[in-house]
Amino acid sequence: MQLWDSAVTLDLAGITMYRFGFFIALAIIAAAAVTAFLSWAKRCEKGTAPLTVLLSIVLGIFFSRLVFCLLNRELGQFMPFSSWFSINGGGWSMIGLIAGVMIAAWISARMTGQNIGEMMDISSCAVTLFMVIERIGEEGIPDFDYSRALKTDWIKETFLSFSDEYGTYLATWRLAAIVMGILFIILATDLIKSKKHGDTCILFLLLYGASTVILESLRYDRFLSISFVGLEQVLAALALFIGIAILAKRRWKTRKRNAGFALALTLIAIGIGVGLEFALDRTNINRLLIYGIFIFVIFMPVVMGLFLRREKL
Amino acid sequence: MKTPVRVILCLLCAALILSAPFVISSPNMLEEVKQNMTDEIDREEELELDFSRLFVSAAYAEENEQTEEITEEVDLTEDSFSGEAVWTLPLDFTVPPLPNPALYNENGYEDESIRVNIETIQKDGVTWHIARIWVASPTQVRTAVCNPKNLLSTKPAYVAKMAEINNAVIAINGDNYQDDPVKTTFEYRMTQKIRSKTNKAKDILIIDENGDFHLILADKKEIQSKGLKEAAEGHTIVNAYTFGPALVKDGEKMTINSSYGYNPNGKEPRAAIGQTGRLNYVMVIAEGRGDSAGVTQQQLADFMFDEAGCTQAFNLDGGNSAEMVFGGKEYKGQSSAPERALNDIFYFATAVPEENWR
Repeated sequence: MQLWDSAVTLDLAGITMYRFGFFIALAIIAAAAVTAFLSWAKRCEKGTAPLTVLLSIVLGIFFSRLVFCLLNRELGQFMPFSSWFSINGGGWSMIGLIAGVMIAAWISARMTGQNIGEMMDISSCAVTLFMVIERIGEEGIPDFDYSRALKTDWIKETFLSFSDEYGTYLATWRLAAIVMGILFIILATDLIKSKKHGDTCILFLLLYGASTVILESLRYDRFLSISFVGLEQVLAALALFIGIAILAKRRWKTRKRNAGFALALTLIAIGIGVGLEFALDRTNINRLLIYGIFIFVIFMPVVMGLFLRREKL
Repeated sequence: MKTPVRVILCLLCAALILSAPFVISSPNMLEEVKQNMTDEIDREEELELDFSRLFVSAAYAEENEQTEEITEEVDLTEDSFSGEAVWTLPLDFTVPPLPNPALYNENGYEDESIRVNIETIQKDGVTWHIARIWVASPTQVRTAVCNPKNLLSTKPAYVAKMAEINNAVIAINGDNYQDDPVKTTFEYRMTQKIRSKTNKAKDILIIDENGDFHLILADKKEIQSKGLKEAAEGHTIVNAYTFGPALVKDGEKMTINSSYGYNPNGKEPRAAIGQTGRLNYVMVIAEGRGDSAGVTQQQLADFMFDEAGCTQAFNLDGGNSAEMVFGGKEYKGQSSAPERALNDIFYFATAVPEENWR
């Protein structure tokens, strides 16, 4: 069943389609092109790229939907199991999609004899480019992706804002697209320079985790949230912690103190982040100041992670 | 990997990519789908408990509106407002007339259809804002949501902005029903059903077509559904909240369960609404977390019964959500905190059209 009346649609050459789905198709094409190019540049095993792309689409859809259904509380209880498969009704989780893509990279590398770390590096770049286009596709989705009402005048006058009858808001999807664009450039550069397989994927976990903790904090549309805590935000913090934990494990024998410090710093940063979320909700402290501190605090473990990553074994 | 296999993989990828624009509709669940699922979940309980036609959806409410005439009696008891129900408002999300700015005074507002008196009192270290409201027609007892076209929208907005957009004479925060749907299971706004499941942990307030409050206490599914059926029998449910606790019920002050909801024994900012008589109401904000100490839910019940004189009273979302807006002025439960965006407001409107301003 098509839900043309309920969804945002567009007409292309006389064919009606979902606008968001159209951007998803573009995003997959871009991600597939990046996967193919990097696989060719890195001289990966033949067939790994198309297999990775195919599995990424299938598992990305599966895990994105699975995480959304498990975390969704809008209906007052878990979604009825039968509706988990009604995928054209909408409802996706980005962190679920990322998990699906990473599992796809792992499986395809195992199947073709390709180095797993290298394939995950390539998929990290591809999924970041996917997110750039996907976020742009979120434009115009009703009641979705907006922030608290803006009070800072100079932000109101930028392209990063939009208005409705209740106020002016930060266009969080545009900001997310820009941030993901920057991340893509960083990751692609790192992949070219990196000598150790898997390092770019770890960098992705660190940067995606930290930036998404902030970006999800800016959102105020209660998408997958409990009270003022966004569940995607919690999972992003978990991604950051996993990245640090992998690096800490790698350095545990030679740099035990630094590894322990990085883990502790991550937990402290996440704790402070929760406190700052509380301050945003409960105090009149300047929000730009709070977000300045938030960015500083949450990127401290990232810096520590980069330091661990650079150390010689 | 052999070339034919690679070609097949590429073709499969292309097929999936081409299908995306016709399958993937939205990052969030579409409202139509969400509403169908909610109706399905509610229908299961309605069938199980034989709610029959009492807790029907918007479609029935609309049909009901056409067949049942809303009582428009005017209370002429000594303490009542003398305004007559010359004008009525539609029981939907239509924006009511603008209040006449010339009729605001220091302590209230009065026109031919509504009178509001508001005062701030200090008692035992607590700042209380209490508004007494008299209306001529029950249709002036209203609620508003951020997106009336989509009651399941998770979009929140500021209480003051919702009050302004809906031309409220006076407004107070509601129960923020989309914040935690697990807890707010029985919700109606302006005759439209949002959810209609019982709740063993929460009290329910129903406001009927006469503007009368009915309180149904938290209980086992079967017992609460019986209470709901009794309260709704012969009435149209115009608005319903699942929050509470009930503070005063049928003229009796309630003893608050120490394990009810969020921090019932803590001294917090609180918001409550109550009915004192036919078409007579109160709205109360108790300030806290600052110079004012805040109150427990029992203290709020005491105030609503002893000071406000309520026969029915119900606690709404408190803490930083507690906020009343009158004449553009905000009376916040926690004055030091930023305004919190919420899903809904409860408000009173004038029924006097602008062309009839005196």
